[in-house]
Amino acid sequence: MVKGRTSITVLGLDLGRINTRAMLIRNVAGKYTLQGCGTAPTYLGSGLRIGTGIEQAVQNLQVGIGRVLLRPNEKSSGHTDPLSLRTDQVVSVASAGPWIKTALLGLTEEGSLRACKTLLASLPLENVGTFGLTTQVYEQDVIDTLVHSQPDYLIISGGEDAGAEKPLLRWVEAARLICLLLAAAKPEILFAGNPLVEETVRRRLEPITKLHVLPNLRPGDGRMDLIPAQNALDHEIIRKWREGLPGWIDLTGPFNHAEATTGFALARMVRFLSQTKAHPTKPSATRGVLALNLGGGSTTLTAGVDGHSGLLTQKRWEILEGEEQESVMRSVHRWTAVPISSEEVHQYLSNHQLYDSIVPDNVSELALSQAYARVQLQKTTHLFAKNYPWYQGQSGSGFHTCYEPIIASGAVLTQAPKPGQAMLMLLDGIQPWGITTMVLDKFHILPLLGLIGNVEPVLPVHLLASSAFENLGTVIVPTSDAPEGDVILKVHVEVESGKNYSVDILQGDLRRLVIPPGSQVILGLDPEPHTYVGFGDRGEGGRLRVVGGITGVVIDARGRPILLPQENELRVAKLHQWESILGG
Amino acid sequence: MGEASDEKKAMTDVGVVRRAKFIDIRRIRRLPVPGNVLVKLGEAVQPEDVIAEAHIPTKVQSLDIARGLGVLPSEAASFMVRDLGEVVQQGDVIAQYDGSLPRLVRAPVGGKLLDWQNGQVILASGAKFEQVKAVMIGEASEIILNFGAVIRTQGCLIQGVWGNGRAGSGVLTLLDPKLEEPLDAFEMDALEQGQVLAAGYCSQKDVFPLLVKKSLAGLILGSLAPELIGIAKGQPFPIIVLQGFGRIPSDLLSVSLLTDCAGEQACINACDRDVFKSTRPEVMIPLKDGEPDIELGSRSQLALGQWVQVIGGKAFGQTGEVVALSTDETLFESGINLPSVQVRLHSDEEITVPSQNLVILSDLYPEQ
Repeated sequence: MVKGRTSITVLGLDLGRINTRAMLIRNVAGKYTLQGCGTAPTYLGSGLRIGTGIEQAVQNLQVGIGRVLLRPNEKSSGHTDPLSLRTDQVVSVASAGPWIKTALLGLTEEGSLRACKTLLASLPLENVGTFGLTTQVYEQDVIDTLVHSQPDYLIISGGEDAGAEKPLLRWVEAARLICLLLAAAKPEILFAGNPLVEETVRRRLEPITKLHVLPNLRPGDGRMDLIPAQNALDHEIIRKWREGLPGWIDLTGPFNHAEATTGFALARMVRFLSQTKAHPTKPSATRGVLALNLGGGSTTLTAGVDGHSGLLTQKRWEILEGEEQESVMRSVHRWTAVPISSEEVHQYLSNHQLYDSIVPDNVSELALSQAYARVQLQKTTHLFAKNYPWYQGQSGSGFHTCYEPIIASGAVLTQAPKPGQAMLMLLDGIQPWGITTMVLDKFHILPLLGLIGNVEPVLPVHLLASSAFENLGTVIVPTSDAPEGDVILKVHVEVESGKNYSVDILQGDLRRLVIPPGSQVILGLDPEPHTYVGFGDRGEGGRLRVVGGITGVVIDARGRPILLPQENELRVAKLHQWESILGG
Repeated sequence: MGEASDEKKAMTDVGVVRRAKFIDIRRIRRLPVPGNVLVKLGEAVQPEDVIAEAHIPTKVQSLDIARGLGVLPSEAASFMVRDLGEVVQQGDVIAQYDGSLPRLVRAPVGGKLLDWQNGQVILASGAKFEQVKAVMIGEASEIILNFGAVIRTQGCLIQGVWGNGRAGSGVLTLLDPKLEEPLDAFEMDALEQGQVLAAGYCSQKDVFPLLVKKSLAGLILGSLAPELIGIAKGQPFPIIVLQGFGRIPSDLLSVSLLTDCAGEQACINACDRDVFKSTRPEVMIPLKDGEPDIELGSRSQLALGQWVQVIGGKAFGQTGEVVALSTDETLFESGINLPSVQVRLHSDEEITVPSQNLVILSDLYPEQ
């Protein structure tokens, strides 16, 4: 923390699996702005330094801003880097490192194990074994399995506060044995269970391995309390990555340096944003905030609403087999907007697993990469809803929660040749409800803001209102059971010039209202009695002031879930039609 | 100074999938846990040689000494007659109480005494062997105390893009000197046991049982039909794919290297690619003489004259020579602007490729 200063200069580093970004944020005339962004490849591998990519990214940033940030390191020796950074504060988010092997020892499937699995899926952790109460009778096999898989971390949870003790202590003894058997590669243990056994846990485990005692993941009443454990695990992941990714910390030298995994920092920012929105004017239409990142190595989705928040991190190009592979291939084929065979889809996906940095240079590959992005968003959203049942809401009047804004990043979105393509990927992938605004985080800066907010709280507020975030457009999703082609909503558009107009929205329509970026209009939404449009109940409408985004205002009446024609030719034609409507 | 409007990018370094006629090869063979190193510095090794091994105890159980002796748990330790860490046989006395009513606790199975807790002793009756093999012909050039060794050799190196996780070695045999024909086009009768076979493409699963029957030591493929990935994973011999999935014209450089080395002992390590350890599936063929090629590392800067492989777009998997480097970005058919490189393919066609969609194979144009 920098004290006694009115403003600071912050260098933000985003260490992704494919690219490293360096960004400079300065206070200019009382307002923090993003001065520039430099990008370079991320250097991962034996004999390579991640610091090389950082140096290159900062050098590229220097070219853009005309300011020198790298200088010779006066304390340079054989163990440190020849360069260091010249700035007040460095903040880093990283997703480049290897996923950390973690095993779970819990009790009930719907209780502690569910909490453990949700915790594990929130961070770059690889599940190498999950064992519950029913497997305690095969304790010897569990121990052998875990000795074989050699996890870096063992998470033990179970028993609500003042709940079960005996089975939990049995796992503690098993964990002790595992540490004894893996004497030179023993896992660290995170205990996040019934606090009544904490003293015994400390006595049994602290002498033999590093123990982290955390608040219970399931303290009672079916609640999950994951954030303290996420915080501890995030620190651990960063610690391991710092050891394994040379040149990262040396370069930042003596400066104030804050680090976190990209997903954790993104979730922190979303929690902050959702808290500021926690006073809905219409309690029946709960509104939250959602952010996602389709990164080169992982896909992250985080949402916050009504005091709840969640985080999910998934590998981007996971090698799939069997039925799951078939299902993904079928889905990608269905969402590909060019006539292509399922064999070509298989070939594309298989080759992409070999090379994760491929960029599409032709129309077919672009369509395939965008189809894969849609499928991955659908899968991620589905899993998120499974892990966090509050996600779909249905609070109050029984309708799905609206998330506004939805802030998205990832090269497949931010580098889409046309903004309409990015909008369509998000609509098809997330399939949002009600009224929302899609925002592109062009420089992947939102996770960094989640960290910088701790240092300079006003900085994220300034940046969020800046051009670093691109308003892709407002989205209105009327939903109805009416047959295709029936009018389900009337939209009255009041423009500043006075040339007002109205549009009838039919069931099955995807419509775009061209509203120049930055200009304001008032939309009067007049739904049919059976149509839900995000205001209160079915048939309830209202007036909405919106600022035009790049794609204007999009009205998505295609229904939920979106269904595609079965026949290939019609399916491709439909996908093309939607793309051309949005200017893609 | 205004707000940022775009990202400034660097000229990209790209990955290296090394193919070299003669190169210094050093590979780390390391246990994940400490154990015994079985080779000495300078010792010559063969692919099947075990470099290091570790015994990890398994099948652990608690023996209640306090209850067996009828004493308090806090007193039980003083009645132990064997020390922790000792190996005991089935029936051996572990603890003994010599009071008015003498009592004994014997080991129910043979094993190792690992730990003591609350009047109980922990006995491990099994052990798992963790071994690391040489997987190449060479010599131990460095010993990693308690963990393994660095094995060094000189010779031909052909790295690939996919492996089925197995390793093996045998005499290299080419069914077709240009590696153009699919594997199923050939009669397998002439194959001899223990050979490493090189072929252009495989699209027929029926060929695998024939190769198993012939006790093949390894299979090197230019490309593999994606629907056979699962089947290839299940084969008992190592399979390495050099260029990718789908039918891809053979790489001129690989053909040249494999042809030159036909009849030599080829070692295949068809391991998974690990981006953090910079490991790739590879074929290593030790050779005695040659002028070593330069080391390119796992990433390198693109340069004119390099032999590269295209890893995206319509020319996926094809190889060629870098003939022009551009400082400007190129607008591709996809609508995306990217730094690009001009590549002359083996077919003489010149194509513009995003530099990100290339890997370097060699700093040299292959000999024909």
